[in-house]
Amino acid sequence: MIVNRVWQYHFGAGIVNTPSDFGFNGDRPSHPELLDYLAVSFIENGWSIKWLHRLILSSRAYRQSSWFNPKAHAIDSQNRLLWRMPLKRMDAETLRDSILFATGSLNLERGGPGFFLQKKVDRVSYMHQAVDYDGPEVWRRAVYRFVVRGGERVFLDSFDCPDPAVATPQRSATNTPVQALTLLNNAFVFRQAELLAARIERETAARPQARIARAYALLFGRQPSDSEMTGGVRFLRREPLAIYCRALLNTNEFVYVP
Amino acid sequence: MCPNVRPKLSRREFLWEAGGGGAGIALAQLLAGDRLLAAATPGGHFQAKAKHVIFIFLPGGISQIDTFDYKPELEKQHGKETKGPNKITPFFGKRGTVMRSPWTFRPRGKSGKWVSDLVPHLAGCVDDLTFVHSMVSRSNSHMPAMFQMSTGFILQGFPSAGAWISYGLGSENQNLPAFVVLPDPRGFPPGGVAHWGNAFLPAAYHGVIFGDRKTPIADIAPPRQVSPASQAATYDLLTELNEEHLKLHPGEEQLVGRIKAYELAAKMQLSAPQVTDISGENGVTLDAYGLNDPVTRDYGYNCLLARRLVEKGVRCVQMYNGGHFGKPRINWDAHEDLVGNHAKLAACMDKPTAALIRDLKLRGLLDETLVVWTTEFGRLPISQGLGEGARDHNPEGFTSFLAGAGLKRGFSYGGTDELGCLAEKPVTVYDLHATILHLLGMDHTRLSFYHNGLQRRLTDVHGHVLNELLA
Repeated sequence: MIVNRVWQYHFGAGIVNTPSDFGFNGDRPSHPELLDYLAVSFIENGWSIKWLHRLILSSRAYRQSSWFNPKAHAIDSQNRLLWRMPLKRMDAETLRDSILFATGSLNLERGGPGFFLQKKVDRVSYMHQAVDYDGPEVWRRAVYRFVVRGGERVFLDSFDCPDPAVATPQRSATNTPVQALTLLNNAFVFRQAELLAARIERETAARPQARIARAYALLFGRQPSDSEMTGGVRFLRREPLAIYCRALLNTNEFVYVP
Repeated sequence: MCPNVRPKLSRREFLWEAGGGGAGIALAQLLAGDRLLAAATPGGHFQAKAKHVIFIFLPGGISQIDTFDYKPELEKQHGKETKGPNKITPFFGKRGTVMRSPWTFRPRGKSGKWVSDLVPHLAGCVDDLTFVHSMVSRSNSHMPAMFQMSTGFILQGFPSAGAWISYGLGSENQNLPAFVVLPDPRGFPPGGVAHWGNAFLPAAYHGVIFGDRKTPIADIAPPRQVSPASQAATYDLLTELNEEHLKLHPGEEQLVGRIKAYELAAKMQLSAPQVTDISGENGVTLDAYGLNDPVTRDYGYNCLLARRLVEKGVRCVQMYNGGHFGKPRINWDAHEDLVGNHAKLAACMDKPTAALIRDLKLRGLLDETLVVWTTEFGRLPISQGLGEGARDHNPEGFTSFLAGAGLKRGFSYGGTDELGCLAEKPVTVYDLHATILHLLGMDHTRLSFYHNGLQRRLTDVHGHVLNELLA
């Protein structure tokens, strides 16, 4: 079960696609020998999750590109045989952390008490109200946030972060207009876009071309194409850099890995 | 279509898919992969009577015997101990004597239904209502009972009825969410967002909160610093960049879906304020919904909004009259002062609710809309403690009403004993949910979602459609 869950974490789908059900009602493994091999080697290697991550991440299957292959697609449209690396939408926490990392504001403090995205309100019983806190203390990795059952987390909720009251063997990866509105209009994203713009202005010359190139390097790890550069320059003639950065944070290229 | 690599169907698989896995909708849902709002609309099982549903929930427990369940016997036995074997178990342990209703009952409408003066406006609608007088709940504690009404289960962690309905039927209007929640302006009900959560259903089916006049939907508009021109330019740039990116990834449905989601978001940004802006409504309508009276204004706005949302094709509206616990009480939990509490809350609830039903009827919307008015449980016919003018919880018999599509109008089903306490022909919350799904064209045993090894349902393993209510 556990090797399958770790596999699912990296590939978006498990070798058995019903991670909590290996019984009659569950899915059949796509690669039964591989599943057995992973399970046995996992035990032999001292039940080390770290070892398992390393093995999967250094495998040829994981290091494939996600390029589309019409021939393979015609045979196995669901990519169950892993003819390519599946394109994955970042999950809610990863997306939040990636935004913070790209803008240079991620607080890498480890351990200790969590941070709050809610305010405790005493109304006979305690309630937690979502509050839009800002600053380095809430710019820590999402894994350190205080999690409230049934609580509202506007940003994380819309990207399918499940309620902790519910066991969720597999997250959904939905694609909704509400999600688009959140990533585009949420105050957190806008403030981070402003910080990204400030960082780029600090680190580059005032030419728009230099700024666009820096933004692409920080967010996508590549140089912009000619048409992207021209489009960016045109955009920056009328709009501030922060608005441009906000748009880039909303692109498919940023939200989807790889 | 099969997501798994299965060369052929084994006998066991065949039996599962034909029998236990007869959940056609859920399977279609799994296959669709929940990538797209539009693709994730499997549709109903059979011809629907209702296209939309409006849930009106009264947190705290409104009294059945002071509103719609007329019991002349209370008058006769007023002040006496209840006799015979009885199951009256007060929540607070203090037992009082039989207490008559402080409100006068009269026959109303053509159906001659006896309704109290506490709700004079709703009393005028009785010929359009379908009463269920024998509701029972599995809990006499507020939160579990409310969770049951919202999700079918007394524990939190299960999808709300609204989430199930929008999962089953999708939205008719892609510019608005399928499932909209209008909380009481005085605050959330106890349990909060869990009452409209999606739990293990895909997040797209989470109820979206409207109704706050300042921010109708979270993040519907950009921060103040972003001008409309910047916003428009951003949408254009995004389309351009995403389409460029798509050329490198041909055939990627997820990427196409996300481009579409931004197009819809842009439309939603424009269309949502059109729904929430009521400046186009005429004075008579505004007055009918009580928008000119500070007592009814906020809840009245929600009632009017409910009609406008249904008009635009929103599948499910869940609205509240009453908020959280606390003092002074802002919900129907009349433990201290029945007259004071219920009179104050009814003054807010009665007129706008009646206006909504009349307005839906007037516009022909009642023929395609189902209205469900309910609470988590009722109240006891005895006073709470000796000489106190208050009533305790009663989950053993209470009243809900439905109105609209596919129902017998001016009809009452079930009842309670002579004191209005214990249900006769009990109707469970599962039965109510099964009936609601039936009217919406869905079989409650087949609307399911595979989660943690089980095909989960709104009605768990229970529920019978109340055929007697159907027209």
